[in-house]
Amino acid sequence: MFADALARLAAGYRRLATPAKVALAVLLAMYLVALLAPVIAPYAPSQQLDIVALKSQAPTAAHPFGTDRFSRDVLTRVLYGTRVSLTIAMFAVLISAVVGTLYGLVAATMGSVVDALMMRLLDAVLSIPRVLLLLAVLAIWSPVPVSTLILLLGLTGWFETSRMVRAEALTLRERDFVIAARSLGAGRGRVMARHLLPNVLVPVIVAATLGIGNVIVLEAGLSFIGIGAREPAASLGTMFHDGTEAFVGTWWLALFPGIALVVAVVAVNVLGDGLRALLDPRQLPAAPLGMRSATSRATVT
Amino acid sequence: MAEPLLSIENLRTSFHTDAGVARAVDGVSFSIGAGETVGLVGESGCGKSVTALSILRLIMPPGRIDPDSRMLFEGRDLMKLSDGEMRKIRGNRIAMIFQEPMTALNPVFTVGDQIAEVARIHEKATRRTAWKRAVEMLDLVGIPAPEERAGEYPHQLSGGMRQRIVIAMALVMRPALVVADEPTTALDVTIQAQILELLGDLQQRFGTSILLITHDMGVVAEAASRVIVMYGGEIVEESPVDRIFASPHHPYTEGLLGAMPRVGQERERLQTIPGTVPAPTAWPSGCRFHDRCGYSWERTAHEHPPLYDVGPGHRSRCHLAQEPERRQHPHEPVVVQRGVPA
Repeated sequence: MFADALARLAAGYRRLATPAKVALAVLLAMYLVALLAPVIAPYAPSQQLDIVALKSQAPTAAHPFGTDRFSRDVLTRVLYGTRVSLTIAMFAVLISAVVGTLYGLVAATMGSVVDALMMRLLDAVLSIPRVLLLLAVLAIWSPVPVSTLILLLGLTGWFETSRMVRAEALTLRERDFVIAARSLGAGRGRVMARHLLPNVLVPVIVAATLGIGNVIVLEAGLSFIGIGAREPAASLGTMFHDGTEAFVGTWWLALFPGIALVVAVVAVNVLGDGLRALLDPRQLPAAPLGMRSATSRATVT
Repeated sequence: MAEPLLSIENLRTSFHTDAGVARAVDGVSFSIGAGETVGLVGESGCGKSVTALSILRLIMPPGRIDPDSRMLFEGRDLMKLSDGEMRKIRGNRIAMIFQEPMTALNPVFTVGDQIAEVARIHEKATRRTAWKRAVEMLDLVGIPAPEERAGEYPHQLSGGMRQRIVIAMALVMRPALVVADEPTTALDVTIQAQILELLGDLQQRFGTSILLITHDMGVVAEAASRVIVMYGGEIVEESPVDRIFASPHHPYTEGLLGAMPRVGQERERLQTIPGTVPAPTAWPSGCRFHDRCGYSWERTAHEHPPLYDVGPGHRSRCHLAQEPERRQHPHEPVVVQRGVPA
C-alpha cells in the first residue's frame, strides 16, 4: 500500500512540467536549509559579534550578506528568517486546508438547513477583510508568539477553501459512484470519508500550495507594518522591514531577505500552477504571465 | 399466488422545483415475485429511474416520496423504516446496478477495495476477509485473474469489465432484489448479451429477483418474464412478456414495438412515435398519451383512463379496452409542439 502510493507519487512527479520541477527543487532546498538552520548557520541569529568592529558592514567573504547595526551576521539571520517564514506559512496553510475541507464537507452533506446556516455564517465572516481582521487582533495583541500567529493566519484563511470544497462535494454527491455507494448501504460518514474527501483533495492541494505563497506575502506584509513575527523569531518580512529603514546606507539588510522572500513565493506559485495543470486540466490558466504559458505548454508536449 | 417479494402501492415521487411540482412518478403500483425478472420499460423521462431510486429511498431534495406511498418488501413497509434500518436494507437485501459503469465506480479506490467495502459495511468483516470476498465475487462474475484485477483501479478496466464489477458489488450480500437501471445501455452489443447472460446465471444460482429497467424492448424480450410499460409517470400497460410482443394493447406499447428493429422483417425504416414525452410539471389531461396517439378521440382528451383488464395478467390504461372498434380507424396524431421544459 505504502510502496504503491510512493510509486504513484514518483509517476506524478515525472509528469510535472519542468518549471514546476525546478520550483519544487528550490522549495525543498529552502525547507531543508530552514530545517537545518541551526546546523549550517555560521552564528547564532541574535549573536552580536563585535558591536564596534563589525557594525553595519557591507558583504565580505567572512560575512557574505554583510552585518547589521548590532553586528549580527545577515546570512545567519536570513537562514533563520526563512525558517520562521516558511514554518508559519506551512502550518497556517495546513490549518486552513484542514478546517476548510471539514467545514465544506460538513456543509455539503448534513442537509440543506445545516448547509444554509453554515454558508450564511461564512458569508458574514467573509464580509470582513482578512487583513483588517488580522490588523485589529494583532494591534491589540502584539507582539504575538509565532504559534499564535500561525493559528491566526490559519483560522482566517480557510473560507475560500471551504467554499470550493462544498461546491465540489455538492457536485460529487450527484455523481453515480456516490449514489451507488449509498445504494449499497454506505452511511453519511462513510460517503464523506471515502467518496467525497479523496475526490476533493486534488483541488485542495492545489489551492493550499498557492495559499502558501499568499501567507508568506501576508505575513511579510504584517511584519512590514510591524505587527508580524517579532524578535527573537524575526521572519523575512520583519528583516526586510528593518532593512528598509536604512536602505541607502546599508542596502544589504533589505536586499537579501527580500530576495529570499521573492524566490520562495515565486517557487510556490510556479509549483502550484504546475500542480493545477497536472491534476486539474479543466482549469488550465489562460496564460496571463509568461511563466504560466511555459508551464502549460510543457504539460502539453 | 404466494406473497410477492416487493409490492408497491400507489408510489408517488415528486420534485418541488422553481418550474413547479414535477410529478415524476404518479401513482405507480406493481409487484415482483421471488426469483422473478420484471422489465420496466419506457422513454427517457417517463419516471422509470425515479421509480428505481424511490424503491431504495435514494431520492434527494427537492425530490420527495409521498408518505402515503407503500412499498412492502419482505413483509415490511420500506416507507416506515428509519434511515438506519433502510441503510441495512440497501446493498444487503436490495441492491442496485447503475447504467454507466464508467462513473458508477469511485476513481480513487481499487475495484477490490470497492467490492470489499460492501462486506465491511454489512458484515463488519475484517479487511482481510472482505478482500477475500471481493476476489471470490470477481471470480463469480467471470473476471479472469481475479486476484490481480482486484488490485486495479477502475480506469484500468474496460466498460464490460467495469459493469461486471458493479454487478459484483451489488451481489456481495446475495440480495433478494436487484434493481438494474439500464445495466446494458452504455455497453456495446456483444458485451450487452454477455452481461444479460451473467445476470440470468446469477439469478438462477441465488434466486434473486430482478427489476430490469430499460428502454430497449429487445433486452426485455431476452431477460424478463413480465413487462411493465411506463409513460408520463404512470403504468400504461402490464403483461407477461410473450403476450406483449404478440398482442400489445396500449398504443404507446405498439409504438415502442414498432420502433424496434426485428430480424426477418423487411422494412424501409423503423417507425417512430411522434412528439416528445410531456413535462412532468404539466401532464396532459385525460390520457397522458392522447396527443401523440393515432387512435385518440374526444373521450381520451378528458377522461383519464384506469388500468383495464385486457387478458390474463394483462392490463392496459387505454379506453380502447372499452371501445375496441376504434382501433379500426387510426388517424394522424395531433402532436402538440411543446417547449423544452426549463
